[in-house]
Amino acid sequence: MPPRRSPRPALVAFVLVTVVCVAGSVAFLVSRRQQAVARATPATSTSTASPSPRVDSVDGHRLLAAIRAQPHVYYRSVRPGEFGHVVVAALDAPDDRRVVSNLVCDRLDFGRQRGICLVANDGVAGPAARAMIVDLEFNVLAALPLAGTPIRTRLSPDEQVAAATVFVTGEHYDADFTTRTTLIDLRTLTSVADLEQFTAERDGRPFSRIDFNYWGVTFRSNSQRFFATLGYTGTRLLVEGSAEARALRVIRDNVECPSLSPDERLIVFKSRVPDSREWRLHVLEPEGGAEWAVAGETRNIDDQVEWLDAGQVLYQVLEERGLPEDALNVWKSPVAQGVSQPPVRFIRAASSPAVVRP
Amino acid sequence: MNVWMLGLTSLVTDISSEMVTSILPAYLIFARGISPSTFGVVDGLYQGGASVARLLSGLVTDRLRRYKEVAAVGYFASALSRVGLLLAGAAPAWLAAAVLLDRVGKGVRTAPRDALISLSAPRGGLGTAFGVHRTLDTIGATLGPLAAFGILWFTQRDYESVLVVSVVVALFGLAILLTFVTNPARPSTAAPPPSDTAAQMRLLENRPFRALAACACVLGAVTVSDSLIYLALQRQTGLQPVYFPLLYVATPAVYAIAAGPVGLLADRIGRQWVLAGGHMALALLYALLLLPSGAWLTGAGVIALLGVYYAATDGVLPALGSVTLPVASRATGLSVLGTAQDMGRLLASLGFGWLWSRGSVDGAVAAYLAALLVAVLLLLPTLRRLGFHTE
Repeated sequence: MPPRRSPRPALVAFVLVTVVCVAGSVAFLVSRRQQAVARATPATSTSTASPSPRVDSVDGHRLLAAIRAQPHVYYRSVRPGEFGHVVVAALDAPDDRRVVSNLVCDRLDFGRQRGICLVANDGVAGPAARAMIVDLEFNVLAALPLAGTPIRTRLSPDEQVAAATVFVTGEHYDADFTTRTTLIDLRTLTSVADLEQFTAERDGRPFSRIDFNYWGVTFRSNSQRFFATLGYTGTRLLVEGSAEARALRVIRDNVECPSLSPDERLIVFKSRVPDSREWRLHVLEPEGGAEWAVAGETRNIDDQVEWLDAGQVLYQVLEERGLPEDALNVWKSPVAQGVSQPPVRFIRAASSPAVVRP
Repeated sequence: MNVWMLGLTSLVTDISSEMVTSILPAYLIFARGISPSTFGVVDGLYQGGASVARLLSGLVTDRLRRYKEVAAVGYFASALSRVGLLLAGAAPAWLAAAVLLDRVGKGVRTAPRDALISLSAPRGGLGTAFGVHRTLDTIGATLGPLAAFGILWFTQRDYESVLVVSVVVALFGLAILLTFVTNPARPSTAAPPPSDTAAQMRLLENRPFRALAACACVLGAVTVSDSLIYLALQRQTGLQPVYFPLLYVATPAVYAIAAGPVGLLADRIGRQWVLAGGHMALALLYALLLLPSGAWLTGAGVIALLGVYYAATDGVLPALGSVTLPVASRATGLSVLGTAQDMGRLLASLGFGWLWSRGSVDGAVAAYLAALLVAVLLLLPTLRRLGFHTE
């Protein structure tokens, strides 16, 4: 097909555009890589951006041992220079007495011996997110592929089992989103179950829908038993599950992301405010069924809380505006009935706190 | 030439859009800190926005007869939406606006692009032309996530890099379109163009087209969405969820390989029969889900049959539509056809979910198998008549 006019000017323009596109992209990527490498280089102690020692320095190693001798907290830092890195900090000075590890996580939980670290796909392992089981030196013992974007993870108190919830896109029904929750056996380092394959029952009768989703597992001290959220279009239920029986039982309505206190007396969860997209923190006594709102915390909270001690919880809050380094912080609130005390910022530029008491 | 260049435009554009789709949740949740549920709301918008834009764009395209230019507006809107994502921060409203702009862009470009493909191929080669285009398009969709992972690996996980490169790639796709794709020459005999409104009215009186649109809607209404098929596969065989992403890669691969040959076949034996054959592949797939014989075997069968189903329908339907439509209402007609099919499919997914929740997976699949067979059987005479009309 002979063109009606000479294509030459257009062709020249196209070649120019191509060259500019390719050269510009390559130059841009190389510069971003250099920036990333510079960021990852351990900062000197005089730098103000990252004054905390790295775990692989002599100072860092000594400090880490001292921190771990006392109650401490692991969390994901979003400070510049250590974005996404796991930090270990003293519980009484989490912003100051801290050591930065080389492990990068999006969601994490740690115990006395082990930790679980979920990473959204970062190109390292190809197109897969993964759950990494790590030891106290942050060595990766196992990396299991995950089928989506990590959103919640929990380790059982006896550190035998872990749960990982991912968020799956492109799998919509008419629900607002789809999740998958996997149980991982930490003795064999394999994934043992997908909660959607368990049988569910409600009021003693089997119960099944196509749009079932499970998320937010919290383990009892017997790691074979746990609580979780069962969600489907417009409904959020608290279920109690048994890994041995591969079965789940509906306990209560309008409960999301339960978190069981270490003494198993209370569950703190997020409760949907009717006709809104907001949640408030509520407390439930699993024995007896009493429920109350966390009176001091009146903001929208979207997190699975972590227990700081028998009466206080930690959770992340994203302020309306700004970059995560300014806007994403971990807060602390008392939860006892009748207590109305305003929440306090507990760790700045952080998410995913995991408290460990040696 | 035009068809190949349109295919190349789609390939490059799909690399760009799938790059973004594959990292968007991780970027918004972990790099920007928004909550997963906010992402759910934003992501939901991905579904609805395109249909209205597609119908309007069809009308505008036919009125202006500027296929390339209208398509270019759509491609540009999608490129712009990624700039929006970079600038939106964590504000849900702005994120939603950016995502919506991307969907609208996709809706806008579909009708003029398909009309242009149909106007750039000989009548007897329409199946092949659409087949070639869909192959290139699907290759792009497969390469996109790979490009994203490569960039994340190279930049040590810098999501902004992926977004910036995706804008550049999208603009490069636009450059291919603007440089190498040409609008069909207008008839030089200065006959006054037929009144556009009259042409649109005739669309409704066009009996073969009406019959085809009805077929598309009915067949759509017995076609369960991919994600529900995969879910049924998992429930029936206990396939580990880890392998899910594999399904989303393998099915397009089969589709990309099969689309060209199947299009060629459609031009030889009659597009209506290939359309019917594609739905028989879907019927086989439903049957396979009812007789699971092990996760791997059933999984491989589902991937192969679903890929063939798409190859035999996705490009063949517009090819069939193009022959029933006069040039003056080509883009409008094709957008109506696509919308009719989408409406049917939405109904199918809702019905399937309803049956599953009230009965069982087996029951839902069996019901859809029966409905699919009845639908194909009932539509055979209509499809045969369509064949006469379009010879």
